[in-house]
Amino acid sequence: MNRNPFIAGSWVRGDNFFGRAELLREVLEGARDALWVVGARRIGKTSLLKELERRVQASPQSAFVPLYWDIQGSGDGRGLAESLVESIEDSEGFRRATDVATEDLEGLSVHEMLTTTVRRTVRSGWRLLLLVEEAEELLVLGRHDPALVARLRRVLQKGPDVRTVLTSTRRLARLDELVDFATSPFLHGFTPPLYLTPLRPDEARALLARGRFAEADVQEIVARTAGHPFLVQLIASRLFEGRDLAAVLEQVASDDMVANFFSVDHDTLEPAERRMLEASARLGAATRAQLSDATGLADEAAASVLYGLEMMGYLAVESSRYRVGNWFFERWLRRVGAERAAAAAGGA
Amino acid sequence: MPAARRRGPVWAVLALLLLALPAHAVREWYDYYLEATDRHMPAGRWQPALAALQQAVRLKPASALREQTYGLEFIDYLPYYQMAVCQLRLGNPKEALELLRAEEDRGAIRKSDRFRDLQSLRREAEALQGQRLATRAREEALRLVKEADELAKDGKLDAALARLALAQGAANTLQDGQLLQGIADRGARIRAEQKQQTETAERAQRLEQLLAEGRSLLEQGRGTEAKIRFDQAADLDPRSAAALEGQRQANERILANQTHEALVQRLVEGRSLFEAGQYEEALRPLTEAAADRSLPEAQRLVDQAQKMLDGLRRQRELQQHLDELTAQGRRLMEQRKFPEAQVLFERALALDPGNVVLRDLASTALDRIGRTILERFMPNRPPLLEILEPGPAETEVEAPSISVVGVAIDERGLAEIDFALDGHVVRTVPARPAGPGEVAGKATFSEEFRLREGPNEITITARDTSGLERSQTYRVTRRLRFFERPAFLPLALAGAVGLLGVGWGVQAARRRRAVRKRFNPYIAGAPVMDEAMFFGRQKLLARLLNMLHHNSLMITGERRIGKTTFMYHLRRALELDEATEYQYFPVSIDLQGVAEPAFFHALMADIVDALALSPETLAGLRFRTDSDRYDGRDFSHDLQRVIDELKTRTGRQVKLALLIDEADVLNEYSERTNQRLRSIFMKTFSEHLVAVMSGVGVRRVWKSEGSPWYNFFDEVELQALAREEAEALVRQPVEGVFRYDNDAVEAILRESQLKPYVIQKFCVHSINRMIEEGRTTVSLEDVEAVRELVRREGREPEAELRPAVPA
Repeated sequence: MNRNPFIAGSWVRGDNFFGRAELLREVLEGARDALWVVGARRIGKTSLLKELERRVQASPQSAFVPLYWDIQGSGDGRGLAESLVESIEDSEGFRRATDVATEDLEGLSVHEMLTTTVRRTVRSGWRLLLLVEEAEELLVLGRHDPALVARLRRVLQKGPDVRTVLTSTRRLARLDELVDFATSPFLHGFTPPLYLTPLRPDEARALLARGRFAEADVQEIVARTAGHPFLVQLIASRLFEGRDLAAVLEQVASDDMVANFFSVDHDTLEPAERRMLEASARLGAATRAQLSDATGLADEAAASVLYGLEMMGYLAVESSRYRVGNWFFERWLRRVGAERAAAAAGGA
Repeated sequence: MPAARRRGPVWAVLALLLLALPAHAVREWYDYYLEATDRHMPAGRWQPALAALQQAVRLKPASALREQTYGLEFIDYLPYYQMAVCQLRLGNPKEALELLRAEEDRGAIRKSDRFRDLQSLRREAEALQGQRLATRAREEALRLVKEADELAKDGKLDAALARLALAQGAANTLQDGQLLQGIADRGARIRAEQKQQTETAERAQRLEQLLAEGRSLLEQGRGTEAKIRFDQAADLDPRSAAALEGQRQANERILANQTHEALVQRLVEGRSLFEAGQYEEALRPLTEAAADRSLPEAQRLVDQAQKMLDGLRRQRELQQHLDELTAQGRRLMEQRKFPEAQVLFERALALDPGNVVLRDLASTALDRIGRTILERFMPNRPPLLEILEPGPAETEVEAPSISVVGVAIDERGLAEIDFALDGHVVRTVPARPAGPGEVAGKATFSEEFRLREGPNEITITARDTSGLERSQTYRVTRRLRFFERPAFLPLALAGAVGLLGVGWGVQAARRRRAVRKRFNPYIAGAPVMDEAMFFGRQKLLARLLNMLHHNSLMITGERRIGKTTFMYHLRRALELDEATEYQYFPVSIDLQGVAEPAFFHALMADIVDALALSPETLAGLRFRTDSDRYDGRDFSHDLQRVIDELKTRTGRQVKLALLIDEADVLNEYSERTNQRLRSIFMKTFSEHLVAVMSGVGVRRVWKSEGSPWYNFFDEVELQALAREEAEALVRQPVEGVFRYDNDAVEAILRESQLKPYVIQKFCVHSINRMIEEGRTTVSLEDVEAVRELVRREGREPEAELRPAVPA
């Protein structure tokens, strides 16, 4: 039986991982030891970390030993410590390489745990590649215990013994504003962030080649999704089942799950960014000046917002004109805008 | 009196009423049975369910299929099976096994699809029992170690070693490396102590003996022999005053009787004998010469000769000791005193570590100890026999042959499998010979049997290496196909002429029979387990099978749209999915009524229940049935170990598929628990994990900073049936028996809005009404007449429609 080769939702690595060559190189071979990868929801942040972990584990030449650390839901120092122990418990490769046993860490504070882990890793002849997933949790931790986050920063930026990769949405940028750090801001050293962009057309095509679709269909999918990996996989998966692209596009565009995904993603953005996207959806292809006018943002502020949105793949630029990156998101933005306008009119 | 006479009839009426009251209160067997299967068991109330089932059995001891209950409701009455489910859930595997045997002996279940469930439940009960016995064996081993410690403390070292040998046997059986190491360490300590004690005692005894002999020889005037004994005594204990004094006196005695020249001559003689290797003979002249201190060479040669002779003596004694220990050990083996024998063999081995014979004997003794313990705690059971084809144990076929496909498993080693047709063994398949260090524990088979007309009895017997066997018998009745019957040709012509009439007649007879038996195959309410009644979801099922290897799914749909039924058939399909490189291990989990703190415990409980994990894996889990202190981290820890075991069961890629019904419960849980659930799917081992959740809908309100769990799930909505699927659901179940008028079908499709549950409701009641009126065709009038009833039932609480059997 010819099984559906597309994966919509779950993280991928190995043969199922496509693109991101520069970003992988930057993390593994670049000079920076503190990296922050920013990306929209479902853009592939987890897959990037899993692929990094896999590549380092598979490479006999690498000086790193990877540790994947999912910190979501930690809540406080204790929870964070537990999540670290759990990560070590889950990674047999890490334990084997470094001789770190979870029993040695139980009872320590998370800061001590990390220090011990780094020390043992170095003693075993390795450098630690710490892959921190869902770094937005630092917002929660920082609100409750700014000192903890500050102590954490000291270990996470202890390069070259440890190279830290944080992944999150743009929301983490609020950390330095929300939390009053007595010393340096947390993200200082992690900035400027690396942006996880949608797949390039050639990368999206390589992924779509698995479905053996007609060239016209491939072209259409790449254009409509603007290379957003989740949308590419979702549409390809459904097209693989049904082979009728028009029906699939319509189905995906009106799918509640997809709408919810856009809604949650939209909520992670700053108000100015949201305004910019809504204006862009309303105006279609528009210049920076037009968007600046429509949003009431000063030209310089508009330029900064537009750069961030372009890097995260929300906006695409063609001949100095900006438009919403993918057709589905644009449709959703228009619908939401229309509903809001109708509600406002009803209220008036 | 007249007043009393007037009251007489009133009393009589009252008395009659009182007598009649219990008649109203009397409960039927099916009241108890359904109370257990529909109310108590789905809610996990096993004890009340058991009590109700016992009441049902008291009223109706015999199991039966399609037994009539209320009105036209029919059920499969399998009370012993249901009691076995309860007993197993209550943690009583022994009772469960007895009840399963009782159900199987009664036969009815062998004709039903439940027979597979029975076999699966039996495996589960046997696994649990094995686990219990393993726990007991461990406790016994620990008790023996403790006893050994106490005996060793009291200086009873032999008895202590015998206890340790027993404990070692138990630990070997359990393959508990840690325990084994502890026992080995203790044994080594005790043996070292014992060796030291023995050597000290032997040395003291020999010293005493030599001194006594020396003194006696001195008294007899035999100075030289006495000197030899005292020299040997001084060798054993250089500080022994008695030996030194003896040497002095013996020397004096020798010097008193010999001249210097004579002693020089004795030295020459002694040297010559020494150089010829005649140490025993050389000792006497050399000892005499050594009495003269001016001949130091003589003393040196004496020392050397003594040393050589001592070595020879020791060797002789050692061999003698070894022979004694071996003979004694063998005697103990004959008396089946294996631990005591093992102690002796081990002691002998300590004296002669390279002795291959002794090593074999010690190993045999240990093996026998292990077997004895195994028999005591884990009695050998007949092999497991799992027959995949044919399904029910009694069946009718038209095909000229039938395949018997299955697998036999025996943990101690499988010897062979016999296939018998009507009592005659037609083939014996020996089990694959075991490789080094393994037992021939498993054999798959696929045999084709040619069938003769009428009943055929096929018996498959698996036999283990100890001769224990398990058989399974299938009664297959072969009906000849019409063209195979002898009368076919002569009748063909006449048949052709009368075919239409006969066909009509047969159909009419079938309809009359169906009306008489109140045939009504529709199922409204409970999940539809019967493949033949599973309509309209095959495409979706195929789609899901096609994508599940890489994707977790959320199946949503309104209440009663058929989610539970779909999940059931998805599980069946995954169990049978052999087409790709993936091997699915589906586990059904129902979250209804699961409180948030027990969430991960409930998940793992169902996984443990469904997968019949090995005792080694179970021992490594943090999950304990009797303790619900169990969180997401424990679950993650255990899940890895479960997946590790599953990887050993197949050469294909493992996919543990969690089929989670009533997932709406997650909406009520805190985000923290939901986050923990999400984190499971982030782990690297989740490459071997897929989940299919089903529920009315996920509440997509997510306040936390991070990603929600449903990000990982592709959503599939279970909708009403397509028109043609709905029509098939109406017509096909009664095809060839009853008919529907076209406008009746149209009315059902319209009224039901193509929802399968409502369609079945209409069909159940319409068919009932038709039968009541003695007809064989459902009319529009039937459908319209039951419409109100269907609507009313549609408003009944969902709880009444839960699945009947939780297992």
